[in-house]
Amino acid sequence: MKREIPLLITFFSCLVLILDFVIKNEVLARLAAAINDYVSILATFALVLGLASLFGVHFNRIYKKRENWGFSVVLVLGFAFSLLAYCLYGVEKEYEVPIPLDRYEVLSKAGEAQVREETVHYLLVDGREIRVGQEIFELDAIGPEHKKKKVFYYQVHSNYWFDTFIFGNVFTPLGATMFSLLAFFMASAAFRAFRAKSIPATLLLVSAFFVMLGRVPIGAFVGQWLEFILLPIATLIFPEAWISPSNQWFSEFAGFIMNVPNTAGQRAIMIGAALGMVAASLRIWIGLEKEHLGRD
Amino acid sequence: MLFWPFFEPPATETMHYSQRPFSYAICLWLMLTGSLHASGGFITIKTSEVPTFVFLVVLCGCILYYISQARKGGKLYVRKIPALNSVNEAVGRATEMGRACLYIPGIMDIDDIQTLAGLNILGSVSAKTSVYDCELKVPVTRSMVLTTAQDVVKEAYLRTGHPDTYNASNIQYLTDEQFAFAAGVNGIIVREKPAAILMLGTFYAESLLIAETGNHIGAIQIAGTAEPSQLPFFVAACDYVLIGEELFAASAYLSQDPMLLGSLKGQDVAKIMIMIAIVIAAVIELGIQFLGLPSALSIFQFM
Amino acid sequence: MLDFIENLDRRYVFVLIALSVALPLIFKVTLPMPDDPQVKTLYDYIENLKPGSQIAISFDYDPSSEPELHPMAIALLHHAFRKKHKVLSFALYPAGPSMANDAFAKVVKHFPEVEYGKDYINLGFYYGPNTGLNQVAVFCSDILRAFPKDEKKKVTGTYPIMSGFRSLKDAAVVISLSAGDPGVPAYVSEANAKHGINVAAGVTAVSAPRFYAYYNSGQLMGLLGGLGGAASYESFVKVKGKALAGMGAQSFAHLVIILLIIISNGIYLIRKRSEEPRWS
Repeated sequence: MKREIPLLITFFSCLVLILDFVIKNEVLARLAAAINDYVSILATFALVLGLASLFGVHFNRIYKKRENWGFSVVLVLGFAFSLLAYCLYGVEKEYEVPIPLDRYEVLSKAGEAQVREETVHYLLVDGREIRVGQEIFELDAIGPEHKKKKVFYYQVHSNYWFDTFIFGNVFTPLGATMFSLLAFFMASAAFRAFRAKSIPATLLLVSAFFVMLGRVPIGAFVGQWLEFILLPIATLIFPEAWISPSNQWFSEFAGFIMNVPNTAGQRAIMIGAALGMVAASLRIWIGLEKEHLGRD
Repeated sequence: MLFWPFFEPPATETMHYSQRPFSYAICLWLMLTGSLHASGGFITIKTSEVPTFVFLVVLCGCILYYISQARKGGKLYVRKIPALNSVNEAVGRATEMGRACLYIPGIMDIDDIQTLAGLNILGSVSAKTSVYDCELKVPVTRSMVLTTAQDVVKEAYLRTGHPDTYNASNIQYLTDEQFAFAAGVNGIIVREKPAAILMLGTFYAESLLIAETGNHIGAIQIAGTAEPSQLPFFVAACDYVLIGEELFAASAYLSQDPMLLGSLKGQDVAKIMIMIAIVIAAVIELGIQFLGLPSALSIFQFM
Repeated sequence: MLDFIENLDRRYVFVLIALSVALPLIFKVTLPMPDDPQVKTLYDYIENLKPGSQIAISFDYDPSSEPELHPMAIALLHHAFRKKHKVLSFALYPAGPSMANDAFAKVVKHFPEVEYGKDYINLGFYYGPNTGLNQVAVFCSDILRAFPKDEKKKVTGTYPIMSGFRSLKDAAVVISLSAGDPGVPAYVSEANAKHGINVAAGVTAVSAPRFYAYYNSGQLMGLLGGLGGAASYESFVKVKGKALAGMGAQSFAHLVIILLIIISNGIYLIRKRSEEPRWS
C-alpha cells in the first residue's frame, strides 16, 4: 500500500489535469484548481519539515560545538530577528497603527507624520453590522436607517526593520553580490576551458569572439580594425556587406550567429528536452518509474 | 473492488503490463461519466487545444507501443552516454580519496519533472555510494524534495543491505532562496571538499557559481539539466554533462529496465516524426516562397 | 613565464575583470550603442501606436535581476509616457510589484502630468494558482477577477484607466520583463498562441539566446536581451540610463575576457608545437 496509494493519487491527479486541458467542464476545472491549491498547501506545510531539518542540523552543531559552530549561531539569530520583525511589523513597505481622532488631527496639521483616514461602510441587518463596499452602500434601494458609516484613523509608519533593513540593506545586496560573482566565474571558466583543442572547439572560439564583441559597442571599433582582414570572409555570408560595407558589420555578423546557428541549436535542445519531459511524465503517470517513491 | 488494480498488492505486482491500460481506461471512463453526470451532461471540447492534445496522444501512443514491444523481449540498443558511465568512476574516486560525494537535485520543487528525474538518478547513485561505503551529501532547496530525497536514499541503503550507514542529516534543507542556496552549497564544497559533485535537475543562474567552485577544488563533476541557457556553463565547468533529454533518459539507462528503454525508443520515433514534419513544412514554405506553390498549403494556415 | 600564465591563479583574472568593470564606471566611459533589430521592432511598434493605447508590462523579476531588467522598465515607461500611452503593470513574481513601484517612481517625476489610476496603475502580484500558464489564462479572460484590488489595496474597477481594459486582449502589447520561470514562455504559449495578443520580452542576457527562436517564429514581436538590449532601447528613446552607462564597462570586460582567451590559446598552441615530434 505504501507505493500503491501514491501511484493512485499520481494517476488520478494527472488524469484530471490532462482532461481539464482539453475538456471544458466545470467539475474538472474545479478539481484541477483544487489540485493546484493542494500542491501549494502541501508545500507550505512541508516548509515546517524543512525548517525542522535545518534547525536540527544547526542546533546539533552549536550544542556539540562542531567546527564553525559560530556561523550556526548567526543563522539562528538571523532567523529569530527576521521572525520578530515580521511578527511586529509585517512584510509590507509600510504598516499602520490605529490612532484616535485628536491625534490624527494633531499629526495631519503638523504634517510630520503620514496619516490615513478610512471610511468603512456597514449595513445594519437584524441588529448586526455587515461590512459592505461603497457601491452597495450608496444604493438608493437601501434606506438610511439601515446604513452606518465609521471612520478610522491610522498613522502610517515605514517598515524600516523588515523592508528597509532586512530586505533592502541585507538581502538585496547579498543577492546582487552573489549574482555579480557570475561575471568573475565566467571569466575564469572562459580562460580555463576555451582552448582550441579540436575543430568544434575552434568554431566555438570564433563564434564566441564575434558574439561577445558584436553585442557591445566596442565591437564596432574592433570591426573597423579587422575590416580589411575579415570583410572578404563576411561577404560569403552577407554579399551586401561588400556592396555597402556597414560599420556595424561586426554586430550584424554577431546577430547572424545568434539568429541562425544559435536558434537552430536552441530549438533542437528545446524540442528534445520537451519530448524527454513528456516521456518522463508519462512513465511517472502510468507508474513505470517509481524510483522517487522508493523501491521495496 | 472498483480500484482493484491498485488495492490488491499481490495482483498489482504480478499483473501483466498489458492489463494496466485496460484498468486505466476504466478509470478514465468512470471519471468522464462521473463529471458528465455531476455537471448536468455539459462537456465541451476546447478546440484551441485539440491539435496539442492530438500530438500528445500520438507521442504517448508511440511510447506505449514501444514499451509493450520491449516487454516482449529483445535487446534494445541505446547509445553510450559518457556522463552516466562515469558515475561509477566518480563514486569510486570519492571512495579512494576518502571524501564525500555531493549530489544536488536542482533548485525547483517536486512538481518539476527535472527534479523528479534527478531524484530517480539519486536512487541509483545512493545505491552505489552505499555499496562503496562513500559518504553522500544531498543539499536541497525545497522541503518536499527533502522528504522525498531522504526516502529515496534510505530505501537505496536498505535495498543494498547497508541501513546502518544511512545518515539522515546528510540530506539537508538549506534555503528556498536561489543565491542563498548557491552560497550554502559553495560553503559545503569549500569546507568539505567532496571528490565528486553531481548536479542533476533544474538550475538557473547559480549553476556556474556551483560548478566553478567545484572545479576549483578539483572535484569530478557530472551535471545535467534541460535548461538550455545553463548548459553552456556546465559544459565549460564540468567534466561530463547530460544535455536535455539525456537527463530524462538517465533512469532508464542506469536501470537497463527493458520497459524504460522501450519508452526511450518511442520518444526517438516521435522525434523522427517531428523531424519529418519539419522538413516537409520547410520544403512547402520554400516552394511557396520560390516556386509559386499555392499559399493555401502553408503550415501556418493550420496553426 | 609561460607556465605562470598558463596556470594563472584565477584571482588575477578576478582582479582584471574587476578593474575592467570598475574603471569605465568611475571614469564614465560611454560608447555609442549599435542598432539591435530585435529592440528596434518593439521601439517602432510603440512609437507608432496611437496615443492613449494600453501597454501591459509584467514585472517578473526580483532584485537580483534588477541591474539588467530595471533599466528596460524605466526606458519603456519613459517611451510610453512620452507617447501618452497608458501603462498597466502586474507581476508573476512576489517582488515584482515593488520593482514596478520603484520604476514608476523614477519615471513619473519627469512627467508631472501623469497620474496614478488615470495614466498608469500597478495591479500587484497575482495570488492565484501557482503555475504561470494558469495565471496568464486568467489575465487573458478577466483581469479584474485576477486583480480585484490593486497594489494600494483599492478596488481596481474604480480607476479610470480600467474602464477600457478588461483583459490582456485590450492591450496593444504585453511586455514581460522576466528573469526566469514563470515569465515569457507563459505569455507566449497562453496570450500569443491562444489569443493572438502581441507579446514582447525583456530578459536577462543569459536567457536571451533561448528566446531568439520565439522572436524568429513571430511569437515575440520584440526582444530586449540583457544590459545590451536595455542600452539599445535607451539609445532609441534617448534616455541616459544605467544601461548605457554600464555598456562601457561591459565592453571592456568582454574585451579583457577575449584577450585572456587569446592569450591562453596562444600559450596552448605554443606548448602543443613544442611537444610535437621534430622530423629532420
